[in-house]
Amino acid sequence: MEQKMIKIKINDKEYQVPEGINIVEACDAYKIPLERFCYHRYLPVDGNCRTCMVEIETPRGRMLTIGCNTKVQEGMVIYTNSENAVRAQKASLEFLLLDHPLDCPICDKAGECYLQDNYYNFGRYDYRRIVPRYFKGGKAVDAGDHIVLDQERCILCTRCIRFLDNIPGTSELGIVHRGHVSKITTFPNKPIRNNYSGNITDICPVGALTLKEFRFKQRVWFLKKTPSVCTECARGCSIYIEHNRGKIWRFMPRENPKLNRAWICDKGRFSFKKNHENRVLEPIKDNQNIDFNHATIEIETILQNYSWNEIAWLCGPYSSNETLYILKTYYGDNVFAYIPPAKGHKDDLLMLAEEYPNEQGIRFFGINTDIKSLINKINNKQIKALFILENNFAKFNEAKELVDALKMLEKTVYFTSFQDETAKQVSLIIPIRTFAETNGTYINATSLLQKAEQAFEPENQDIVSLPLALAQIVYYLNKTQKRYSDPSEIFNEYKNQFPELKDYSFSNIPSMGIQLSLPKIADEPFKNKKVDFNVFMWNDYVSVTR
Amino acid sequence: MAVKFSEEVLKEYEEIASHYPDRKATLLPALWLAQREFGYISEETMEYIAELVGVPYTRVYEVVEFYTMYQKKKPGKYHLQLCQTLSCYLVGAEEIRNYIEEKLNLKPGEVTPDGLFSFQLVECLGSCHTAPVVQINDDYYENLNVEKFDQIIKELKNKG
Amino acid sequence: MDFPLILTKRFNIQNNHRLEVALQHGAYSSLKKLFSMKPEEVVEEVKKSNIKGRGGAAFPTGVKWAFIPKDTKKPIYLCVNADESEPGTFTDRYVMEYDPHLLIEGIICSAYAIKSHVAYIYIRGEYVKQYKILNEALNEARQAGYIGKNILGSGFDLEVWIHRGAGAYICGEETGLIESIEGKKGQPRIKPPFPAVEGLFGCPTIVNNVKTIAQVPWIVENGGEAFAKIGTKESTGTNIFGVSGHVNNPGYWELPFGMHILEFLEKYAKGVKGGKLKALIPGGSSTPVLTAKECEDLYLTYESMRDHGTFLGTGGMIVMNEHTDMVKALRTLTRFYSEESCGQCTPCREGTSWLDRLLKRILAGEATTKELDLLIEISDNMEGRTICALAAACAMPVRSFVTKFRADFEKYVKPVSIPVSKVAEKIITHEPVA
Repeated sequence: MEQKMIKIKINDKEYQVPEGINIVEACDAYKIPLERFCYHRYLPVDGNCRTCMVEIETPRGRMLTIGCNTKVQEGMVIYTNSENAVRAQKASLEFLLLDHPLDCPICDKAGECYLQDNYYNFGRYDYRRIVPRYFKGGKAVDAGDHIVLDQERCILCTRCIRFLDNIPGTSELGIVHRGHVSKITTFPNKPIRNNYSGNITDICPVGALTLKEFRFKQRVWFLKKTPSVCTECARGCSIYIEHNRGKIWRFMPRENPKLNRAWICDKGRFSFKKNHENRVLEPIKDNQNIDFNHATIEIETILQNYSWNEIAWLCGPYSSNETLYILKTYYGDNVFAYIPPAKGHKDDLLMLAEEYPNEQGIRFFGINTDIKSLINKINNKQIKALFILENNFAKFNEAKELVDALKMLEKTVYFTSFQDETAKQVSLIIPIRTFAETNGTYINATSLLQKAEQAFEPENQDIVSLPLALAQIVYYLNKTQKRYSDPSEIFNEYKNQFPELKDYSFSNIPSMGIQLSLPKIADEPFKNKKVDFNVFMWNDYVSVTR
Repeated sequence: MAVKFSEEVLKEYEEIASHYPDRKATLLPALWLAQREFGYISEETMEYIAELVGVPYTRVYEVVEFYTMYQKKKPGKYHLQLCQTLSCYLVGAEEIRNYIEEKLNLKPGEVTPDGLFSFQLVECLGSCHTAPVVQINDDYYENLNVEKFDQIIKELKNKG
Repeated sequence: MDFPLILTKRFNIQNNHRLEVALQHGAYSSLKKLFSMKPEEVVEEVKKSNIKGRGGAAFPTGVKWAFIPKDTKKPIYLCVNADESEPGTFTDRYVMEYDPHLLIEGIICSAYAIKSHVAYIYIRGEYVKQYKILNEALNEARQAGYIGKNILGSGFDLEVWIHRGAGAYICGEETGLIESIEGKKGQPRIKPPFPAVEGLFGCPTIVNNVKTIAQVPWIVENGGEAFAKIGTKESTGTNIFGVSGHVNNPGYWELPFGMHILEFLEKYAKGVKGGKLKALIPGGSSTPVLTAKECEDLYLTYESMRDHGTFLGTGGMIVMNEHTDMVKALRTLTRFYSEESCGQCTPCREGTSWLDRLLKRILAGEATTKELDLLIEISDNMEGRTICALAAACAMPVRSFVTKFRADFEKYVKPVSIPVSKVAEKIITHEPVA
């Protein structure tokens, strides 16, 4: 994107910035500290917190103004650390904290709270409220299926209102009364109920809006953040897996101006619970737990007893590119993919009906999706053994014929993470790692390739990563001499098939993903939405969303 | 029992709506109509108005709570609004307030048990040269002192 | 002094709000001249008259009108600010009550000048009587062809509608008024963008006070230069000055700018009641207060007020005699501002309430002199940092009362500090001042 770059001066140093951005963005780009509460890159500017005060030079002398509503111009001279600006910043924080309850010990937001962070840098450190505190009331109000509202902590920055007005468009929140007694609230008996409600807890700068699923569960400073990709639908929004001691405590959106901006839907956000529910932790044969050695022997037996063309491999759009690449390259003709029907909720924002992350991978690697021929081959006894690879097709009524065909097989093996419907139909279950427990790449519906990094080791460290297991099998069968210790090595090999990827290796895939030129299978996100954000892409700079 | 406007009032509303290019701008006039028809604005009224005007429910709630003249609960037959700002304070509005609180036994925000009087303290009514001023329903009563005010209250009580 | 009555010339005529009566006494007489001029010429005359906004901010009206982009394709709106809620101000209501047709004539002239075809009169909700009179007058004017399509055959269309407010002082602010007409809470907008470029419904909008608009017909008929000859060089024309508080004859009078303030108080308000003059607030409570000494060389002009560190504002004066307790008087004002603050931006929302609570503490006898300095510092932190001027309007009286009448405040403060109250309490806004 071509931007006209101009020169401005901040605190007596010269900087180059694109024309038309505001002062807060310019300071963020060069890591100049400037506090703000109500300004958010992806929401319309409201200018009500009055904390991002800066001084700019005008023909009439220095003028104190807010940074978020002031667009930079050629030759502008800005001061964030002049005496007047500092005094204004400190005064605004003092006003905000005047009646703010001292809830830090019991507040979920502690550790990522703007008041705490800004006070450390910009605070007065001189308490002088003197008058009695105003007790606003309204702690821990149930405001929706996932939201707990604390009206006392709210600093009335209106970020949540602007979000609900502009993105889902449901406008459930509003500020009633006026002046000092104003409170944030919903209409009586009309709670917050939409598909993006979790985002307001991310953008709330203080602990006024918190998630029920996270309430009192973990302290934020214990959480480690791993960048990853949501696998609930083909949009593949960028997320952070926030985990501690091998358990995921929440998913947070990762800023990606090209894709999901700073938002994720509720379905994706709360899917973190799945990682620890109904897990298969040890191999199971005929409903009995067995150990990995026995399981390996079982698989080797199958591979020896049946010829290669009597074995079929059924994968799906749930698998990462590494799995699909190994299958396509080394596994020959009997590789099939079952793509489930697209039944999810679809909207104009992020959600897509395809509830699987990597249909583009199936298409690109050209895996055979003709399930009927697989069913025929099974019924004609051409295929006697079937390996099902992380595809829970038994859940779908449309796959009834395939489920019935399972009975005609002599051997069925299921590589899966979960105890699900298909697991009931097979004789041997091998546990594999979820996407959070291994490295992988996925291509989303608009052809953006992103990497999902490994966050932690699974509960049982012997659980295999599926692409590595598949590579192990063909190595065992002498179909290849290649060995891999991590799926990232598989990426470094298959990337040569894409012209866009030739300069990258797994470790330096940019966090916003790489756009491939595959045909898209869905519309761009936020279709029909007026673009309100203040993002300017230059030097591929990505800042921390605040 | 669902709350809604009668046919004539709806016609009146639609006539008002023709004054604005955007239907959302009719929210304040619609709430005035509702207050005139129903006496005060309840939750159901807010829902009805939200659907009539075409704005989210929360917006109506915000507007009703923001402006002081919209009554959220049923006021008395005579709603006493006493100005408490500087010009009225300088010439004795406090005495009128004491009269209301003691003789009528009425605190701000309350209604008398017989439903005749309710009391609201308001800010400058724009009649500073004839202070103290009380607005009763739609009418201004100016140049008051405690005797005159007592007389007015007696007359209203007699009217019933 | 020989000066024309511009605003009040028909106030004493019985039933002047009726069109037939008003017409007999010269209503709508400027329209013939108006339609013979080009809109740009009308703006030029208003610029030449140097008339300043009568709503309090005193911005030159002609300059404001010239801010509208010349090549805009959007409809232009005119909003008349009849939301008179500034304490001490009460003169707009009489223009609407006694001479509504003057206001309508002014609207026609102003709308023609800025090329607007829809005008809204925003009247405060409490003015029910004035609303009814104005509505009647509008209906009569509409029937007689002064409003509507092709006014008097000139080819100019204009519609005028009244929009009732519902009890909010902040809706007198320009963008707060626009927000209220759009059906939202009256919370002012951040500027830029300015209303003259993007205002009501996203279109260029001009907001002017009732008295400013009502003086435009005279300027059209007699020319801007003639208007500029009245009053002083910087404060041209006439204004309706009102007096309330401790005077023998509170009321309102139309006068040209330039009279000495003490002469005005003697001649028209018949002197201070109940004692000597102690303090005077010149133009609505948002202006800094003046001591009796400062009034000795003070004139009713914008420039004289400015030289004394205050503003003429709306011209609604509040007089306080020597027995007034300045702390209690200030408490009514801080209570007013903390009630009327819209709550959008931090310094105003928190600052007005903090000032109010500090005054309560001072009145209860629990404060020290340090807290008097704290009052000044909070006022400094509020002024100039907010979206609209309400915070400054609260800060200026507080600062001026505390600095100029410090002796009154020091009667309440103790030398030894009482500890901070540890108990949180609900805000009670209705408790008495004492």
